[in-house]
Amino acid sequence: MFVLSLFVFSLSAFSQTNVLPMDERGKYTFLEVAELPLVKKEVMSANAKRFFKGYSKAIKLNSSEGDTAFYGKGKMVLNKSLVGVGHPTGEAKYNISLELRNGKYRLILTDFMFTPYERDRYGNFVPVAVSTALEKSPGKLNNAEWEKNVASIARESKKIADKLKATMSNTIKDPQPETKKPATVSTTKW
Amino acid sequence: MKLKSILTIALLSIVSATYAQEAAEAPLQISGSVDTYFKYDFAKAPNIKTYFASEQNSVSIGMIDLALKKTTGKASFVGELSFGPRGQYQSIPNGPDDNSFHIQNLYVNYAFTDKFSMTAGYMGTFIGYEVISPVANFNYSTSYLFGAGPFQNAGIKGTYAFSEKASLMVGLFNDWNVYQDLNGVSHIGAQLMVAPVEGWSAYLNFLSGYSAGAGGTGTIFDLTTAYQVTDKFKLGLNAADYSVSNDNGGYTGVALYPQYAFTPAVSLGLRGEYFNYKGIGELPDASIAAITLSGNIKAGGLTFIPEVRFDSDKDYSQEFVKKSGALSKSASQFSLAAVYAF
Repeated sequence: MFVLSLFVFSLSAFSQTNVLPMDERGKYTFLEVAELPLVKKEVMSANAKRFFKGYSKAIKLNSSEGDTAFYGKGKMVLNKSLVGVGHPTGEAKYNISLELRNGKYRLILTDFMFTPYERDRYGNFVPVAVSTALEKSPGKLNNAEWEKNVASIARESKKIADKLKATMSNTIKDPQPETKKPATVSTTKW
Repeated sequence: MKLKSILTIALLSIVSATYAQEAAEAPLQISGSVDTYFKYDFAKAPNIKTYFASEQNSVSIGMIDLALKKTTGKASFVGELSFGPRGQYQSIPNGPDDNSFHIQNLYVNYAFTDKFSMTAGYMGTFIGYEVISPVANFNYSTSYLFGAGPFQNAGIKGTYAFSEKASLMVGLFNDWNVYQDLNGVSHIGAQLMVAPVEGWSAYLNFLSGYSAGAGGTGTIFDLTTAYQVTDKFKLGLNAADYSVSNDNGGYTGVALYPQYAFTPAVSLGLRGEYFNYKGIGELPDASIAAITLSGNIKAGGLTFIPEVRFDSDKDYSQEFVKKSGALSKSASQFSLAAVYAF
């Protein structure tokens, strides 16, 4: 019974991470609203800036409205992997917006453009010249690949959202990075 | 009870392993391909001698290709092995005892900065438009330019990226297509890459050196460029000139590659090529013209490549024959290939 419950829970968690709904414009959209009642407004803003600084290679901010809204463009690399072994299959560019309110924030990733990767002569995977909006019909022949890409984008979006949530949950305005010191042992007392 | 415990532990182990793998960065990359083909020459003879679709009226195999890549910090390696006629017989050299090493790529790379990296080992050549892997070519049979140029260049090279739109590679290389250079590292090569507008990239390549046993210094200039004109139409071009000093021949050629994608899964592409062998000493030049029409029908990792090809050899350099066995100035063939990439 316990095993069955665990299995059902695993399936449920898997399916949740593979769903990407559409917004009112008919665009695939990842949306998450998180409530953080214990985090002060100015701390939330500092947290958001720290998040974008940490993601500076993958997300470029275009504009912001004061300290309450941030807009930019991002890129995520999608991987085909099984048991930790695989290779990149493509990349998805997207628009990101993060809006802050008292005690909560809203994250939106949308306007996904998928660019498949191809293997070059040196065994590296590089993007092809043509990008396609995720909403464009893949046709019958490539439907399975397209479904995998959508699922992969949903998973990567969830990872970004989880990372954001972890950063935004911080309650101190200027947290000092943890200095990791190796564990010590005493060789004099025993 | 025992079974339940085992299942529980197994399930938890899988969940833990998955979590650990997601947390790890840059996993080992494994990729590759498998290809097989049928080719039928309309004169019932294996007339057209360019690479990889060479066996007449036979369902034949290409190769299984396996590539590994691992990146740790700024260092990475690529090891690519191939097994089968396309690899062992037709595109890689054997060792001194005629054993195949199976190596297509074997190199290490270190990125000193985001802009500068160095690579050393045995690498697919930087010259030319077409490559050995069937996954990266649109047509299944290859051009005369591909067959005449180098396949691999072992050496050490440095690449500097001025920006996303321009980079320069300079390197020292062995003779073409050898694991060991018997007359020392004897070639110098360079590649200038420019990408002036989105969708257009151009590579100007240069390679020069004295190969063991050659009659002179061989120098090749090569231009390889492709422009994605629209989402559906792509135009590629390859032009090359190779000369061996002391009037020891060489070649000149140009190939044009227009391709049209009717849907993401169905494309049609043409290759029109003119190729000229330079005469050695008093011998005259010999030229060939070839036109190849190929389809690409993709379903997941699988690509079907139906292809028809017509070659014109006015100087009889290819020794095409008719059904009767008499020499012919032309040859034509049909082929159907299936390539699976993973």
